[in-house]
Amino acid sequence: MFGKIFKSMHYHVSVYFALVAQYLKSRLVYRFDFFISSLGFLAGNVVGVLALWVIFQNINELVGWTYAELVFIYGFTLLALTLPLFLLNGLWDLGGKLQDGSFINYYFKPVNMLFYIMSEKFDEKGIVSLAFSVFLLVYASAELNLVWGFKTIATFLIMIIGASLVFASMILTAASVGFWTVNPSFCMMFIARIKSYAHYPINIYSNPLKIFFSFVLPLAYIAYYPCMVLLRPGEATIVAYISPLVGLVAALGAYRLWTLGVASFSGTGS
Amino acid sequence: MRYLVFIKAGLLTVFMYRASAIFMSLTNLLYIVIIFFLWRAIYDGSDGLIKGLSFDQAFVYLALASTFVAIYGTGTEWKVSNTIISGDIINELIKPIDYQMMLFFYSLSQVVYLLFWVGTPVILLVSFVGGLDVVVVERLPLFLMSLCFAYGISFHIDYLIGVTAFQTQSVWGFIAVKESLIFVLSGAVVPLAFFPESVQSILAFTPFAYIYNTPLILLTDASVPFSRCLEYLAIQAAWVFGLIAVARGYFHVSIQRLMINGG
Repeated sequence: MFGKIFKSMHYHVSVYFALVAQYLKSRLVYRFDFFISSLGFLAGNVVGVLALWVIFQNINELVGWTYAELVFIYGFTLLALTLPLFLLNGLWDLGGKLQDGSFINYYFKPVNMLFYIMSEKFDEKGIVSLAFSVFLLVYASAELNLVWGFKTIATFLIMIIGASLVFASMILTAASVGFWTVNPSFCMMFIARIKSYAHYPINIYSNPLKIFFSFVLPLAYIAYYPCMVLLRPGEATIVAYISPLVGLVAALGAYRLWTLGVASFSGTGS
Repeated sequence: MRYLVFIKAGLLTVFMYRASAIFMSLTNLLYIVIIFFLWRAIYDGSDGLIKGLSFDQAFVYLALASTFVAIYGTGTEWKVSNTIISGDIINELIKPIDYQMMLFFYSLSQVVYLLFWVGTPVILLVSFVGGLDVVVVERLPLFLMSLCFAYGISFHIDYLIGVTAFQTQSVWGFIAVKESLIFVLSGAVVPLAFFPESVQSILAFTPFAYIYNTPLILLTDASVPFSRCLEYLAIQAAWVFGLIAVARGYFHVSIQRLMINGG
């Protein structure tokens, strides 16, 4: 059985790299575009931290959180958002493909449809965000005297995977809406915008909104709850500790919605 | 005036995308709700005033700023750059109309339309929270005038970014840089009054400070003397005319060396 799993993994990894390599070759034509786009990503994130810095020029703490802690949460959020974007960038083209009918091609691929879409594109600009998020995490850890022992590293890895799954599920759910409405771009734009509020501590909100951002639109599971476990394990409750589980459940739910959509999509007639 | 027809064209386009306007409005309202709670938390530990601004002043300022960011972004930079990159720009050049003027009126009609769809719910929401008390009613004419100049600055920055496509052939990155710079440096995320003095004095030399900050200061801060208000308006007007001159010059120089791939 393990042999079979290993063989399947080997197959998928080699297919992934073969497809991504082709995509990157096509992107090499636009080197200048890569440079400017990276600059765009970087500027967006730098000013995000700048806004936080300006706020903390006037106050010492925000609902109990210090500047360094919020920088850590910002870096964590950025990392959790960037990892899914590497894989799910192809979903942005879904709307167009559903409308012009070319989505039908995917039904004939001899591999999992979602896997193929994930392999087709790679968000090379995300590398800048990745580097910047690591920079923020290192800076904040030093300020907070966070010791990166084995236990912290293991917790961090589990938490970042869970948080990435939460965000990936949001994108996948938004894209899947397209199977029924044909145009998923509104939903995807909504997720793309709402994600920039993920790094605010959830305890600024009133209770109904806290519940909304935890269990309806689980923004709090992208950063706040996982970071709580990492930064203040003493204050973290069960709601925070289940973060990886929430990611897993969300991912399974979103994938189920996707397969339902794929099965029910009947084309637009073009 | 023959450009009035583009006001109609722009309106017809946005009518087609009503769903997009409603969606923009909802996203904006959610953002304002988040702003409300975030800034309530920021003011929680203070004695009611930060940098001379009360919570109500900061909230109205930010709610309106984010609304104007949404309304003023009519995608002129995308329209210009796509036209240049695809080569369709030659179709515009042979028309007996001015390309920049055409885009201006086209975009203007969309702004007016969105002002209604996105702006009205915001005013209702803000007045529901009771924030409208901070509005300085007798400054409303100055505010509206300043808003027009602000649009002039915003449009021409967008237009200039679009025209860079002549040189770069790709503008996504420039647009992303522009959007984040304007978003933060014009006060849409944190009121400019919160910035350290040194940063503020540098920003005073950039057009950013005169897009959203100026009209909103006029509207919400009664302590600004009348003469200072007029001074602000004069600086805004200077930026508008400066940017028009730069945009026309830049377009003129770029068009001389226009190269388009066949296809």
